[in-house]
Amino acid sequence: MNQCIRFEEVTKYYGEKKIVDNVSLSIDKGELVTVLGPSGSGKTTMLKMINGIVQPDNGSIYVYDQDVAKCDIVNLRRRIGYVVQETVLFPHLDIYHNISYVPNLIGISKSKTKRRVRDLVDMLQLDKSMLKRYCDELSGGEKQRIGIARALAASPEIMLMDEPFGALDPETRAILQDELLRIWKELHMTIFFITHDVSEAEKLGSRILVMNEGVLEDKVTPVCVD
Amino acid sequence: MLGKKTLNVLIDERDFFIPLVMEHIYISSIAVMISTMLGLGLGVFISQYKYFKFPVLSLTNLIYTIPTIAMLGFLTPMTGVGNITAIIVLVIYALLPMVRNTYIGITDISNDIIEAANAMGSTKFQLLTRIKLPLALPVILTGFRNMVVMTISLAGIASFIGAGGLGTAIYRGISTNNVQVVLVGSILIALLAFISDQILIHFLKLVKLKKYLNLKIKSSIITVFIIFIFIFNLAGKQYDISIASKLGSEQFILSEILTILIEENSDLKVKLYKGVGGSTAGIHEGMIKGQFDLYPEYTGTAWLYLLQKEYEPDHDKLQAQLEKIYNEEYGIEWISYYGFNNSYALTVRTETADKYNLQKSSDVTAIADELVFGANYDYYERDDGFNAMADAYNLKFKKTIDMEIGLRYIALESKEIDILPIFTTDGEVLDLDVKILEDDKHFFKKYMAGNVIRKEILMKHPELRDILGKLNNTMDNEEISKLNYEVNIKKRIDRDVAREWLIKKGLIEDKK
Repeated sequence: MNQCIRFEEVTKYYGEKKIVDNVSLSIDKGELVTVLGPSGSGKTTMLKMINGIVQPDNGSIYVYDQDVAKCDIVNLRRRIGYVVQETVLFPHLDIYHNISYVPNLIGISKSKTKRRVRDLVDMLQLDKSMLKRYCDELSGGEKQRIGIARALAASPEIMLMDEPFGALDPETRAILQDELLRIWKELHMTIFFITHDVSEAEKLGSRILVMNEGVLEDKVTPVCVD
Repeated sequence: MLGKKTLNVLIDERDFFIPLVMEHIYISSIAVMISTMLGLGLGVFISQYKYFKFPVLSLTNLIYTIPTIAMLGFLTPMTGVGNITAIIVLVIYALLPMVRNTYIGITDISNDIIEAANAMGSTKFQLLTRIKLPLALPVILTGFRNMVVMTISLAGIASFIGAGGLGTAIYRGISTNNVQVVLVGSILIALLAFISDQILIHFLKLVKLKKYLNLKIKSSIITVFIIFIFIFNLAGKQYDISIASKLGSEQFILSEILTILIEENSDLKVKLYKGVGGSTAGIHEGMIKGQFDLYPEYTGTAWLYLLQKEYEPDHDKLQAQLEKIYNEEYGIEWISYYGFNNSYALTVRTETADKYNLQKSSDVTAIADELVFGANYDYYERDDGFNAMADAYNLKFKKTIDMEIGLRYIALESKEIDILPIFTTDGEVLDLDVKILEDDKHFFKKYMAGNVIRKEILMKHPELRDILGKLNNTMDNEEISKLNYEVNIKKRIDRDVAREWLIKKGLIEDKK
């Protein structure tokens, strides 16, 4: 009933290599699922199939009971936040226009967008003066916060995050992890979070999945570490 | 010395050069605008549909290697002479840098960025306008910069096919042997290219500083566009009658006379195409197509060369038939005759004439064996050249020499030769102490200068009949020689010489 994302016997090949092997998975609304696995295990491919950047060779993926392969993909993507490692900010846009990229695509009014960006700046504890600057003037941690702000800008119900904190120093990473948890609780989103760091997976995940050579190996509910 | 002289030419003749500069900017800007749109479009197209990349890039590359002169040769039979063909040629050459740089700029964008923009729900169009084009802009602008500079330089050749612009000055300078005018024309073209380049470099710097999102830049692009349109309107203003001229100072003078005469005596706006490429045949084509309305032509040229008729020694008869054919077949009228005959005449030094008492060409027959004859190589080869002439007057010279056409007057002065056929309207003759012998046996074919006009334009503007009629019998051989002398030897601007003559003849008012 509260099902948000569903994989049905999904298989994907890259050439001869089976990168995702007959995966079935169901994620409920409001879950923060962390996906662990070594590189090449197929976790990024899983993530990219959710918003249709990669199409499965076999099986189907459903988001809100809509078949990703058959629905209006542009519209779906606008409702899914997307954050990747080394967040790709658009180099030709200043920070304000990076954050408001999706609202601008949709055509949300300027004043509404402005308010939204201001809220996001507060939420992610960014410096307002930063808005007029460009991404090559920013530190890794700042870029990552902006990447998250950009993903949140159109108030998505789902966030796809692919090792978003992978390149950060431990201190910054810890801060951003805490902030992500806070935002997740505040906004009741469904988050699909990829990492190769076990402690990160355990800290964040309400559910932890492990991928290995394309196979979903394990389903674990986190143990409270405190 | 050269520099100061050149500067003086520029200052003295600014009324001549300024419209050319405007026209040059106009032709170049139209070409730049069209090729920018076309090049961007094609570049974007092949970056989206890679299947077309190879054929489009190969074709533009191939076209780029065609020599300009050959390109003009291909196009003029199809698109005629004038600004349009010039713009087409410029656009064709400008395509390569635009297409190539647009393609490279777009395909060089990192895949991560494209994927991120896709994942956020950009449509194809949004991806293009919000991500691809802005990111490719520095590369595109580099191509644009090259293209603009190239177009401005290349527009210098536009005058070879009857278009305007500073090439007109170079072309005219070359054909009237006036180095200063060539120099000024070239310097102005270089200057235009340099200034445009500097502006674009500045603009590129702004873009690289990522300031191009600012409204300021957006509005400056709009301003530049408006200026383009302004120039377009200014230079592209409507005209009522278009006049053509062949190549050469005599043609330039006559066409300037027509232009000034009409403009001063009516409200009609004249567009003058000076030195149209393909000359006689090209202009005749243009007249039939309605591209040109009026130009100076010679009866002999029209009869022998355009109509390919047998020569008719009775010129009155020839003229009557010529007028009839023009009227009935082409809808063109011979509206006035200047009175001079651009033909050959045998000429000797005055001392030779005095010594043997020579007045007419037939006077030479008796003493020909004492004279050395000189002419250019071509004259000995032609059917109506040396042999025919020698037969007609029964001439047996002591010796015959063939020489460079430019050296014949020097050879006459230095007594290397004693007698030669000259062009009866040559300005050079006035500097020499010579006697022109009457062609009493009417051997040399007559080339009477006149004006031909399309009947259609004559019906539309009937006042032209009176205005052009004023030129009847106003200019004899000596007079046109003098005008040619002013332009060819004294290096004066043909327009000034034409105006002076019109004032002297009382055909226009002296406003000074």
